[in-house]
Amino acid sequence: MVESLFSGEFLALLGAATAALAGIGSAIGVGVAGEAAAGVVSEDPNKFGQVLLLQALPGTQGIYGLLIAFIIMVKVGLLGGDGMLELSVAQGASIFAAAVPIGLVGIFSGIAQGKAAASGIMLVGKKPSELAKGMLFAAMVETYAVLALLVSFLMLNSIQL
Amino acid sequence: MAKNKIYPFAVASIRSMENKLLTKQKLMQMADAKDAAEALRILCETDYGKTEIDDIHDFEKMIQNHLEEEYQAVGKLIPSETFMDIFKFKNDYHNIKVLIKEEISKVNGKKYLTKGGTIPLDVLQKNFRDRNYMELPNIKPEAVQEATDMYAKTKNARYIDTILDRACFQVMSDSAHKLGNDYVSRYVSKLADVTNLKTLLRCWRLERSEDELEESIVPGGELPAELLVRAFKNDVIQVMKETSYGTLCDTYMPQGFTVFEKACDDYLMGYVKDAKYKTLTPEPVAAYILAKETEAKCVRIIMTCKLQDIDAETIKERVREAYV
Repeated sequence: MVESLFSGEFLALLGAATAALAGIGSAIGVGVAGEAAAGVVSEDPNKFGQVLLLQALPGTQGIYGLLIAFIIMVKVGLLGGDGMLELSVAQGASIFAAAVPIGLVGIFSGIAQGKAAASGIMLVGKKPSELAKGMLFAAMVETYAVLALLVSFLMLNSIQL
Repeated sequence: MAKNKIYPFAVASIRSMENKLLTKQKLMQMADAKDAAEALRILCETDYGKTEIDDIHDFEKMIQNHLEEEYQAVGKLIPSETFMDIFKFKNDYHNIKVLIKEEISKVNGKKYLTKGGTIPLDVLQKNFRDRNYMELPNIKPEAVQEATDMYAKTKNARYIDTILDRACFQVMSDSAHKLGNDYVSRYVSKLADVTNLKTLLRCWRLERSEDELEESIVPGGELPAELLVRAFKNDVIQVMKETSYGTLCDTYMPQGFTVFEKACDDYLMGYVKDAKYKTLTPEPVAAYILAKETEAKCVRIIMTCKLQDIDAETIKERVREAYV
């Protein structure tokens, strides 16, 4: 039982799952921004288009997570149709480690970006002409999600199976 | 994040609504109007204009309807009822005062009743007549009793006001504690302090007795009653200088009561304005209500002054700081 839990294959799948957890951050972030967006639209329905743009910003972390999860699954042959490759525990653990950055950073940056986006939406509610600035503030948070994506991606690329 | 409840919807709505607040320029424009009718015309172009009035002296009706509308709109945004109630208690207590005085004097006080309390006017009137306090949750029966008793004993209407004011501040302060929002609690405490400072200055200027001051001090503030009494017995400005309201008292108290009263309102507004930099917590909602109330006060000042043909410069001096 314990051996099957800590087999290389299992660890690699756990890595793919961890990467996909970045979606939690995006879900919370988009949720908070969505509430704020609804608040603005309740007062002025014409601002729908502008606030929608801002609401979508925290959604990227989930996409990054999905991307890394896909790469892992392709790498271990899960999506190829030929069945999963046999992995050593070390290989599986490396894949798991590579997935941790985007998984963790995705969760927290998604939440943080959601708050920034919500504030940006309030800014648009008050001063509609400042949409670009509001987006810029929220987009700053994106940097760190991208950095984590990069780290995860580079690590995965260098793992030899 | 889970620890502090957040209200993105409410705050975002409030931010949009803030655009409709009257700016200082608009108020100045009203002050500069050549007569009351023109000032009223400017007012009618804003959201206040929803209520149509025939007589210029009815502008109070416009203000009240507008405030009532705003209270309701804001009330819907925040699920917790206590949050809004804290700002509405003063209207309830005002109405109770009117009702008590109505009972005593047998003069119909209907036109002095104000909307915007926590209890609808008809419910308040009916249950107050029957002294059915079950239906009046935030009215303290002992305060009403004490007020009527004191009046019967002294025939001095001042007691009705002071006793009910004290009860009102007590209820506000208790509810603020229960709500547990730091910003609201501090506002209520500052409001009590500022009210006491105004009472202190008034009693001092008019050379009233110490007892009268003590009876008028409202609870809930940071400044203890003993300190206020000590200031009253010695030099008010010297003693108050040492407190956290030092600058306020030192700069404005010597300039007379009108100036000090305005300075107090501006001081509170300065505190309220902190909420401009909060995004997800409920502070901006509270700030909006207070901004609306200050705005209504400014409109009242301007309209009343215009009706009395007071010159524009004097009005401008009296207009309070605006939130936006």
